[in-house]
Amino acid sequence: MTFWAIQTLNGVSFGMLLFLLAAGLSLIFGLMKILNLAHGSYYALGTYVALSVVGWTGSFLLAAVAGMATVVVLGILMERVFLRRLPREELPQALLTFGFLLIVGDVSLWIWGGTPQTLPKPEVFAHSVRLGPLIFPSYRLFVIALGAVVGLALWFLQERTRLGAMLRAAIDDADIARATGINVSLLSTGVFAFGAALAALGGIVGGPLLGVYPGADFEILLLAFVVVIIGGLGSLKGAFFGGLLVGLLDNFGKALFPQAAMFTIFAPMAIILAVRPSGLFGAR
Amino acid sequence: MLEVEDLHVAYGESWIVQGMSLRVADGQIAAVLGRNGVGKTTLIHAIAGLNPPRRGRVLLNGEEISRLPAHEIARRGVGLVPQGRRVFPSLDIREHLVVGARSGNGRGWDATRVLGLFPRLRERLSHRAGKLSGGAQAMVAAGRALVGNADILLMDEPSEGLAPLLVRELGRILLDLKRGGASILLVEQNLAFALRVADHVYLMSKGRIVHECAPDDLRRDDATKSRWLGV
Amino acid sequence: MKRTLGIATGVAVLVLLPLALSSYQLGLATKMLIFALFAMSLNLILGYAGLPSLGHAAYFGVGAYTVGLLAVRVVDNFWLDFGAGLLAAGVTSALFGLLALRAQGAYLLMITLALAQVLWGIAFGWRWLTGGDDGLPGVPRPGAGLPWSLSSGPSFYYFVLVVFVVATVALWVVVRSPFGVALVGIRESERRMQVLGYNTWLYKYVAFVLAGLIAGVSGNLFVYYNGFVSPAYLSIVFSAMALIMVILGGAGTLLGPALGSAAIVLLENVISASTERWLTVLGLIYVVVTMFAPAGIMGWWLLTWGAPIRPPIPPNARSTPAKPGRSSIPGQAPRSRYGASALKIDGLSHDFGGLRALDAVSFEVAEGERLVILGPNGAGKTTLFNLVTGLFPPTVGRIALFGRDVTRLAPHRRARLGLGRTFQITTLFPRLTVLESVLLAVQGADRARFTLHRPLAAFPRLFARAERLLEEWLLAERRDVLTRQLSYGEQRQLELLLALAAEPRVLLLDEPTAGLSPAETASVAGMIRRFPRDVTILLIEHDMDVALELAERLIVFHNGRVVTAGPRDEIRKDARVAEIYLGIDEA
Repeated sequence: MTFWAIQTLNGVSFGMLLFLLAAGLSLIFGLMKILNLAHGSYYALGTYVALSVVGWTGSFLLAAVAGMATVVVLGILMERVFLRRLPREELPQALLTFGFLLIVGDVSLWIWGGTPQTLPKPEVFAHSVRLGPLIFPSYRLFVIALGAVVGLALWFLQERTRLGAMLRAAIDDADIARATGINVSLLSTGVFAFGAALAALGGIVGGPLLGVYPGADFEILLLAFVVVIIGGLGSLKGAFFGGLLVGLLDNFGKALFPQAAMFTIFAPMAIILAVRPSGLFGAR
Repeated sequence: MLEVEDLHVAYGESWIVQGMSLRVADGQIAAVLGRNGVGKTTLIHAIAGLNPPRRGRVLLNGEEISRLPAHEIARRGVGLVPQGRRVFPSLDIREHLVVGARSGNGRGWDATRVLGLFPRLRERLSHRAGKLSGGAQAMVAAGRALVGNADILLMDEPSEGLAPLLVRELGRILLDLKRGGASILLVEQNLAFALRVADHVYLMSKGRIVHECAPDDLRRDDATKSRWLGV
Repeated sequence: MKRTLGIATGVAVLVLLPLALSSYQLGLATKMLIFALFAMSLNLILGYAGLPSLGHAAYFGVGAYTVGLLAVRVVDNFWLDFGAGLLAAGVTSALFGLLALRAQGAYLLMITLALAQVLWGIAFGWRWLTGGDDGLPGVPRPGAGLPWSLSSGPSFYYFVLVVFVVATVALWVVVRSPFGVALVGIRESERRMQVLGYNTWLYKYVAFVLAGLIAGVSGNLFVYYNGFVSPAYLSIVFSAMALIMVILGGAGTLLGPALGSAAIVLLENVISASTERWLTVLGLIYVVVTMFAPAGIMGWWLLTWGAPIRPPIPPNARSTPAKPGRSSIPGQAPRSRYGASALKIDGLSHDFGGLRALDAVSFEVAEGERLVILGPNGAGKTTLFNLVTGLFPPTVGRIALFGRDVTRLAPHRRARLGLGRTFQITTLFPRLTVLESVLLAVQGADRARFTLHRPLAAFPRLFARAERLLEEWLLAERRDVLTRQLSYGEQRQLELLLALAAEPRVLLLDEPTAGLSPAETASVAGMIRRFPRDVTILLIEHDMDVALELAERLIVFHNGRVVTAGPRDEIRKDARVAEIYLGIDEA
């Protein structure tokens, strides 16, 4: 019983991190039709920067802000200077963003070295919480809570605010949105930066649990892809439920069938592709 | 109000609008008529900033707006009711009136007033626009442009696909708007409807203006109608 | 002639290379050849078929691992190991292709990556099998099972060279065959190819598997070269490297990717010698190439020397004229083999979300008839055509072609049954010439269309038909002009010609005169009037003049419904029609 509870908790908290990444990826794709392979870099770079800042200042909060800010700057640079000038085709975009993935990954290796590192947990969450017969690390509960709050906030933003309506209008019909007075160009940069910040947040919040190391950017990128394939590219709901599903599957898979490698994630992905290629919540 | 000077607009590698000039006077309705494919929508899109002209100018109240980004042009008082309505399928009616809303030039349009003009929309404020009938979508598209408090409305074949009764209704609304001081550039294939509401008529062919006159003159001029409109 | 000389020189240089290079340099040259093959295999699906894949290393790595594992753990026999590696790569691409080709664009990129990563995960995680991250060392050079050992530098180099030449020739043959040319057509406009009768999915799938096989060959060679295999061979870095080699060299050209790989291998060698930051440099290469040189080295070369990048259809392929095809003499009585009904629409309705685009539409068209569908914009006419062509299934209703129910049949199957179509928005092949486009259309109706092993030039009957069509319909002078450089009027004509070239029995023409000048309109209308008499023609027209001129019978649409139907003279006088079109006052 304890085993299942702990594994579920771990799976859900991991799922929340995946949600943060997939949400950014999906938002960016939904509005701009850009598949951003550098999304993994945002995750890793944010964590690395946070690592350094926490080392200098001891403040997790400051580190989080610094990490997200760095990544936002990188994202804006990529979007305004480079991506905007490319034709709207998948391959050039993929190659360009992959180039950035390589550059950021290698430069990070150079600056921070190759040893895996973890972020220290913030003091306030260093203890465990007792729920009935079970003992959970409070940090994991915090991660779950954070994911849920961000999910709700994103949903609210998208469905209930004017900004969200403008975003949905721009996704539906960018030209007419412009003719209605919506500054789609600014919106695009904003969404890109926001998506990058979410990825960095995922990395920083996941830092104490997963750590950061060379290759983490690829690994998390791949998982984010699986999430959006299953959930549907461009869908917030898809990112959320897809993230939870993949998080649980990955966790239980590793715990119960360690030899099955990636099959626990691969199988549902293949099933979705065979049965409903646009994902659970994707547009038909 | 609106002046178009020697406009040349391309679509890809072909020239669609080839040297057009026209005016819409303050508080007047100007209609541009022509067969399918002469470039009427390209003209509208060029004025709205969706397809910037390669040559020529567009002036709004004397100020050049020719190559501004579309959202800037909208903010300066140009409202678009596009061909085929093109409502936002994921937004509900209320959101359409919110997203385009802009105040400040004293014309006094807001969501409440739009709903007063189109009472049938009141019952369906939270319905997604993608699920509405053609007539309702036409109202939403018009409302979306109106809440922007535009100085001039660009309307691209608004009567298309509407039942005759609704077309009449539309004509009445356009005349009401004009009485309220709005200027309208109307592009149409429906000759009778256009003649009923316009103050001045332009005939377009192959990207150019080939004839202009008052609506009454055109009504009587069968030769011109048959030559340029195939009627 | 120049080309043959160039190729001969190139081959001679490659053969003589071992004499001029040090053993280290020769090793590098060997590596270049191996990666050239890898990149060229990716080029088949990327450059020719237009399918972007981020997981091509999967087949490379599967080949390498199979050979490595067998050679080290089971039995060191060249034929067995190499063959098994090939088989494994082929099976993998056959399986992955089934999943990946369900997607397009960004989804295709993600899925191919994810599939390759699954294999990477296995290679990494199953240490007992693959040695995990440490890899599998000790793979010997081929020798067992062969009459001589290939362990020395030069002998291995020649082995790789032979394989490279054989594989390149194979690719060259495929690329010049009707199959290869069809791939390019699919890249330029898959929809157009479907309505010309091509089963586009099958073409893409076969190309995918072929590319996987050749990637497997290069993987086999690489494991022999390195003596070692590791999960890196399956990684995204390898896949992306193949991509940049293709783009840098020039996608869609046969040898471009080879140049790209040579460049990258050389750069890696040079730069890794002086710094650890090779990946940063590689990343910069990606950024620079995509931003500033997307057509690659070959693109620059061809641009400088004046030739556009085109598929290899020999410019002077002509031959004895084939026996005459269908008659285009107007006035001939229609042959009626199947009875009167060419097309029957029964209770067809279609909804887009909440909007009913078509409402209980029913009518029948007799063979040889000229029926015009008239109606204002938004009346549902194009939706009707899309349903009849098979682009999507109707919500309700039946469609029968010559008595056969085709309601849920795929577009290319309906084309095979004789259904042809032109589109309101010109659907042509932008980067192909007029002749090449017509050839594709003619080929679509011919048995030769799936031939892989003989060049297109070996089918003179296709060229003869294409030339005759061009002559007959007055586009012969424009035969070598790229489609996107034609005037809009010529493009509309070409659109009609392509549909006709596929020898349809029922032809759907969607607003063929849209956007044309009066002179061009008359020209196109004249063209339609001269179509063979036994072809049934359904025409959507917005222009009343053209409609009344071409029609024997008219159906008037409004708001998705049939308002009235009848012979031309009746409709001409029908008041309802005038009202719909001209909005004549009821008062």
